[in-house]
Amino acid sequence: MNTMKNILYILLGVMLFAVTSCMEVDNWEEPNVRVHGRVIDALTGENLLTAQNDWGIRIWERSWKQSAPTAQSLVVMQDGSYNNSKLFGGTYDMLPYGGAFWPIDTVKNVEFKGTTEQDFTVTPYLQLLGFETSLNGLKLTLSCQLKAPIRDGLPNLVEIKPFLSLNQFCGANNFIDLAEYNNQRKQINKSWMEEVGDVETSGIYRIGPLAVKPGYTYYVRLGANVNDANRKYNYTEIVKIVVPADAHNDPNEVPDNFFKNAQWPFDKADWDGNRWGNLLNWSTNDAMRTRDGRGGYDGGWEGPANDKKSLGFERWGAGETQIVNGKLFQTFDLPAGSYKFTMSLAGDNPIISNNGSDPRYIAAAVGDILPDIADLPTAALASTNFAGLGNDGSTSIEFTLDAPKKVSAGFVVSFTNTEQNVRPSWLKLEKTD
Amino acid sequence: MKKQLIYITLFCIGVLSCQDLNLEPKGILGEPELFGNEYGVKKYFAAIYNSLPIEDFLYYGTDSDHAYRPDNYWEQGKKSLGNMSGEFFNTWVLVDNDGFAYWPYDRIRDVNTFIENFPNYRDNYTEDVYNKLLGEAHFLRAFYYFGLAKRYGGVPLVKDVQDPLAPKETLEVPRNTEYDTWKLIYEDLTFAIENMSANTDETGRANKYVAAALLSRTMLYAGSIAKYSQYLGFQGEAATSAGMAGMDPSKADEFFQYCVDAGKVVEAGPFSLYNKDADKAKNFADLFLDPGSPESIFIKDYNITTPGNTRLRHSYDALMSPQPDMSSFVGAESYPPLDFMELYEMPAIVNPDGTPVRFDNRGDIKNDMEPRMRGTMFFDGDELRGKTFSIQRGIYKNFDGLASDADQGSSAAPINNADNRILGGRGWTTNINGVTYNITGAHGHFEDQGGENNCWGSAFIRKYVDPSRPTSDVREYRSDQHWVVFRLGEIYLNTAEALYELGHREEAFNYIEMIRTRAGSKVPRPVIDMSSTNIGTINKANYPYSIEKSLQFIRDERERELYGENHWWWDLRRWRTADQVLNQFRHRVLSCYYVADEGKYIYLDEINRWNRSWTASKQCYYEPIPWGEIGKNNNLLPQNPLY
Repeated sequence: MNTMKNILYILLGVMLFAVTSCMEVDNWEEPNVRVHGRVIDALTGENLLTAQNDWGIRIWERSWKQSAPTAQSLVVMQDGSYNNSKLFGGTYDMLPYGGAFWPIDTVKNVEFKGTTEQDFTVTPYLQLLGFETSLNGLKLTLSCQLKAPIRDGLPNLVEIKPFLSLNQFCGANNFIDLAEYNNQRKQINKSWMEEVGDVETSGIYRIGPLAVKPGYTYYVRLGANVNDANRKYNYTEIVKIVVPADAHNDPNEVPDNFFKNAQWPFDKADWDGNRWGNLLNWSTNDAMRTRDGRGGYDGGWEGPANDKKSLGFERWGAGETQIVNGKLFQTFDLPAGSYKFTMSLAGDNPIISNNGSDPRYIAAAVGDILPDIADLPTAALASTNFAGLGNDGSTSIEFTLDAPKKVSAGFVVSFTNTEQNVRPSWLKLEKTD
Repeated sequence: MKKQLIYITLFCIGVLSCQDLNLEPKGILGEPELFGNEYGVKKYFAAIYNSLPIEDFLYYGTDSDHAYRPDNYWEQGKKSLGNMSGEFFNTWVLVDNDGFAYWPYDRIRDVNTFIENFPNYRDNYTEDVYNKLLGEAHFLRAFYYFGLAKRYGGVPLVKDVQDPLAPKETLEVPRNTEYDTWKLIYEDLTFAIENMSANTDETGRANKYVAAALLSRTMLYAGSIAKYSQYLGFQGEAATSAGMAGMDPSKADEFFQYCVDAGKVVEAGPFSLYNKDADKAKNFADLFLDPGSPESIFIKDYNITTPGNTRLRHSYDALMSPQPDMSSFVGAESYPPLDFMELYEMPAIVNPDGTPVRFDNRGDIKNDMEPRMRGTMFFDGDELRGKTFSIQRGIYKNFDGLASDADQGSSAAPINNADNRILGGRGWTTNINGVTYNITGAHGHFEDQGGENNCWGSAFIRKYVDPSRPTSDVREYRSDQHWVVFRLGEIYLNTAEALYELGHREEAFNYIEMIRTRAGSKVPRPVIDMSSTNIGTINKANYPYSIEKSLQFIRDERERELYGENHWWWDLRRWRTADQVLNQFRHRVLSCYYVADEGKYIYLDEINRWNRSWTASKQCYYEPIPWGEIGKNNNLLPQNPLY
């Protein structure tokens, strides 16, 4: 037994020695150099508006000559500054890389020693100017304009996207990732020239409305990017939005346009699979549905693969059914007030048309259907015949309600001759007072 | 005590003295045995085949330890390429942009050794056999370079056997351009086609048609990379300006033409689209399972009876079908999202007036569905291993409204309040007006559970699933159906795409028509639409370039036909659309509900309840050259863009 114990002790001793002998102290000094600085927007002189940890400053240790050094990256923070206090001293090359700005030259041979400060100045691809937020009940709308300081060689615009966050960090790496927000981004993928034109500053882009929750505090901004290698965003500043706990959407809120599905490209409810169909959200009477029981949606004559997505109705050939008092309209519950109903041929519709001279009215009337043409003068709130209106024109009617009423608005037409058609670009029914 | 020390000393001497033994090993085959006769070469090649970069049942590109592991790991079903790239909905993995440091120069060296030394044994062979084997070696080398080129672009083109003692400068081989890399693949495969035999008897081994099939695929990749890399915005990146990451668009047509030519070689072979069963859905499913399929050009075989380990077995069945009814292991892990279902012809789920279509049975969703879709996915009412799929998410007490009122499944929508929309877990029931109902189907969707055996959406994967295996035997390492590496269907799609890119539109659609006829599509040959769009189909992706709509149709046809065959990720990469298609690609799922007051079923378009979305960055187009290799060889710089 004794021998056994001795062996155990010897073994224990050997093991202890074996384990502790490994503890040689690293004689290399810990990294203690601090490098910090700002990335400055050349246009504003302020720190670049960016997002936390979205890109970095690449550094290469040049004191090391034996092989090509691989780059390390110093993280740039949301405020456009960077700071790293655990670097080894030496001579470094530095390059802000991967952010949403025009590439700049590497700053060579920066001596890292003690505390080193190194600022960089960059020119952003885009500036997002005039950032405005508007909170209406529980609907948040954001808007801004884009400015391209350098347009020559600017990669295509990709998109403008809203970022909402529940803490002060807000950007591509920290946002509320919901389809209902993401789907509100405006996808562009066009050159500046195609999208904005030969000017430095764009029109106003509105993003929203975005649904927010009562009692929450949001930090919001817009970002826009171009199709460079990294496709990072340029941003607006961050705005804090406090949604009151008792905030709610006004049930009597007046929309900008009472019509739904009122602008090209129009949505169809169904179609014949080739050209003619019914519009989503719109009603028709039998007289309007002359195309195998459908009417109001015109996909154009190039078939399903090239659906033109137009609101349209026509009688073209002599063999086609005449449209007599055909009606295409929507019905609304309108509060008292003054209204303007505009129908525009001018716009984006690739197959705009207003052919022929048969009577074609836009009209508004109390009730859930529009009157026949003969009754329009007496039964309608307002109406006008727009036959002859050019493809670059629009027409409107106005009416006033002294009490809340159910009102229908839309088209009433009688096409009895051939080569008659209508394909507008957009319609609008707005409350003016 | 002393005695014991002596024994220990003696023992140590005994053990350590063995180091000096220096016997000629008798069990190792040397070069004369391996290269000197056809069986030896076959044995030598077997190891090289075993490591080919074939992305099959075993592959998952998120993990360097397991990607091309020649045995396998059951977790593949969780982390498959389809799951990673958003082709399947799953709750485990998301996009992996930067790969796993694939660097198979050890295998390339094996091939180079053969090519360099095989001529010493020329006299042992007839000319045919000699040429065939040398051609095969070139095929193998091209396959490895393909695995590299599609990940890194330009790589060092090592065609000789390097001497480890040579001067450092010759060992540190620099990267070649991407163009030269694809051209080497072209040259190796052209050599292979010219020298290999047309004999297709030996399955799992290459012949001239296999080489042509690989050429078809690789040249299509090269063509689209040449054509579309200009839209990446990489022009200022060092690797791109050096020609190592990207090619000039002027090279595209050259490669597309090679692809078309390679397709013609394959077409001259003894292959035909699989058409053995009049039931087009079953026919499409069978094409992957039938060992005698005339459509298969090259297969990777598995065999459950192989002794020893799990090297030639996989676990696909056990991870694609729900446990316990159809799997005895962890069970289903991957589900087809609605976004992909919508590519096919399927019945409308919303009426013209916006209300959901009412179905008498859940399985009626299959009525009027494209047969190929039913051959690709299992739906409610389908049978597998003696059990019937049963899939339902919940119950609406009533649904008096539009489909859009359900707001893609949002619990905030008034119609979805917990009193009206009843959701539940496995086996839960509810009582409505005195009648007891099962809330969910037997195979999902269970609100209280995660991804396993819980149908997200309304379908399970059918493609490649072997129905003949009894449930009790559907376990880890118990599957042995082969993987179809190349099939004629793919070659037709490659040719169609390349032809269209070359402007031969009608000819391209001849191939599309054959594919769609076999698929049972209602419109086998759509009219060509040359109007252009930059909006893709999946996720309405906003491409950085415009293409003709019929070319988009061909791309979609490719996904309809090749869904779940590990092509999608590579296709998105070569089209340079991955970062837009996978731009917060939030899978939508098809969810079935019972409407209690009507006794009917409805299907709704919903967002997956875990709100998962897949996003690829532009880094995904070129994986970084492994940093460890750069550490050994600085000539591999510049690193690929964005790293």
